[in-house]
Amino acid sequence: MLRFFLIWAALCIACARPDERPLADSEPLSAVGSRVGSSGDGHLLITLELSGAALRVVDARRVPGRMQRLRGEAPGGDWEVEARSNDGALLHVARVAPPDVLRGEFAREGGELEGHHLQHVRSAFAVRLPVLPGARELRVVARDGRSGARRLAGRVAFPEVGR
Amino acid sequence: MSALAAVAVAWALGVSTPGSLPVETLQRTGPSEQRLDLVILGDGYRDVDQSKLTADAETLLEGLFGISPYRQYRGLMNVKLIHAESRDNGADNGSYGAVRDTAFGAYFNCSGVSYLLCVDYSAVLAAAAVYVPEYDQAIVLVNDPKYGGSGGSVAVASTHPNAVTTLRHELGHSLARLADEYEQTFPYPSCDATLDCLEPNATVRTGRSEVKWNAWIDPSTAVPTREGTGFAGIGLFEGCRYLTAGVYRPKDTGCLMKTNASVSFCSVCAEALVRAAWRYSNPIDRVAPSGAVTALACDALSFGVTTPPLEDASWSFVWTVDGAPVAGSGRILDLPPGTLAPGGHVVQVRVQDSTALVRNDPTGLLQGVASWPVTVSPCSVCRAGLACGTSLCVDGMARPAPMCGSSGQCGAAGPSVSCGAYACDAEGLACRTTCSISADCAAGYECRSTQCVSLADGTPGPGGGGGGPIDAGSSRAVTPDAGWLADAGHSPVPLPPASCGCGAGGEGAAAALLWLAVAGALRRRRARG
Repeated sequence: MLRFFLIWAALCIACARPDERPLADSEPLSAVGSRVGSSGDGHLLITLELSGAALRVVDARRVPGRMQRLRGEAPGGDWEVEARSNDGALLHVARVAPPDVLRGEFAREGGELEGHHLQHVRSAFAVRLPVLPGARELRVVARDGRSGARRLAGRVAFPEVGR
Repeated sequence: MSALAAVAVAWALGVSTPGSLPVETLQRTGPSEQRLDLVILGDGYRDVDQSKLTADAETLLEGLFGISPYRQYRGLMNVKLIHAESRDNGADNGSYGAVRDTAFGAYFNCSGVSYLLCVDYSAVLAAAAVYVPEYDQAIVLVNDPKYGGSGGSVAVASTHPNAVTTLRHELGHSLARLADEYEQTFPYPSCDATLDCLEPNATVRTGRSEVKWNAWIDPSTAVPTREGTGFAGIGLFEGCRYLTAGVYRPKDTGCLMKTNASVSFCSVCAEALVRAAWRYSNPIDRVAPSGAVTALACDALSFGVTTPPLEDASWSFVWTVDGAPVAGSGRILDLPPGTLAPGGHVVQVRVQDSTALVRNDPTGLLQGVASWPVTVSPCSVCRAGLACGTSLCVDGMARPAPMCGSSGQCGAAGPSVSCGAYACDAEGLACRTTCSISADCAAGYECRSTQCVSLADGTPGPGGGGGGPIDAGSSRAVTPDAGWLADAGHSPVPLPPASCGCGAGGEGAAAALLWLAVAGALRRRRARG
């Protein structure tokens, strides 16, 4: 009984202080379950979870130090994570490897590989962003690896820690 | 969310409170902003299994880094291990039973595939974010000897001896976006005929000059190239990316992207992996001096660069002054007094990783450039008894400033001395003698308290000598300026804290506890595959 009470109490605290605000837009946005790290200078590390079209912030925190800038061209087929302002203006785009891919590749007799290519029902991935005071929304845009066509995979309120 | 509430939930759900999970540095070769940071998270390791986790992780790393090109480019990677503690050992449907209670919920028979080993990916990445926030790639090591693993945003490997081969292959996908070269019977879309395949080791082009790995194909090799002839070189072999026709691979047999029976990548895949590693690093780790230089014409001037600690590296250094090549092909350039006339100058170095593993580097990933603005004031003779230049610390070796002789001529710089376990200071003038973060230590050491200690045995490392701060009597000055190298293509040397202060406590960690606790509860309720 005590355990259930503690669960209930803790979840109430979490629900009473949502870390994300729903947007005015009518499209559904997940606003539950995000958590924030401590404040300070540095950049943002945001862990996202995509389940169907539902995008959720699993964890968001400021990380000390400058954001590592990868050199050269990003590989083709990357998905994009867009940070947008209240009026929808694009503030920053980060590229991430397609997060929905699940591969299992196992050796048959003789070493030849047998591949299993699946799509995550619920995928998780991380993105690094600069601190963006005006950001209000995160959008994840999927890219078709073959045609390059773009598709909105999910959107969520920008976590408080990065605003 | 308060920490108390999180701890309460964790307790209530019967999940052992991680508090702050121990994080072990297995390999540190440089600052995180200049490295590919791998984080390994143990799953299915109980309290009594934590030493085994360290041993298993080291075995996995030795296997991973045991082959080319991972071996040569190990120096571009840092590796940390998160000691997550599980209630049970193994994974669901593994060697120890159908249902196991583990930190990240590892389970075989994922999606009905016996060897496919999945985890709770959100829990894994949340833990990585809390405890190793600088990570670039997460790897979950599952304490179960059953053969299996998986790839994707998180790589998962069991402790089966062959799992390392799968990990090598999966990191080929994750780091270099390599295509699978094997053929399958299921229908799979081919590459776009206009764009070609996006992966570096797959193409739909058949004209020799159009093949993206043309530099690796000997002119005497037929293109396309016949399979099954025993030819072991690079060509254009039909069958790749799960298709038997229409898509081509570089090597007939023997590449890790085609078969697990191989222990090597083909040249094209290895090249792509090297380029991928260099996306995270710059061939110039540090520069000395660290900023613009103001000097007298009677001073000796010295400049140097530190490169990442690569095994069997083949570096080339090309130095120029005001655009004109100057003698000197090493990592230090010494300019005798009077070399530069009074006025403004630019000293530049271009550093190149000249590895034979790469023939195509269209965006110059294997190159780094640094330049120093130098302002020289008139001077005919130096002042006897004073320094006529500065000390210099490059690549863990420091040397004192040259001194002006009684005749007013600048002498030679003194001999270099190793900094031991310590790195050069941020200005590139002397060895550090204490540390505050692990970037203050040499490769193979990490900072504990204020000492650099060996990662191998935890003993304090040797201090260094030489160098010393700029002599108060010197006529030369260094003006630190973090921005001055950026335009020349070099990322200013970062000196981040070695660990994230934000994740160790406060709301982030507390919330992580809650999250892990809830995830654990949900996992137990989940129907298991």
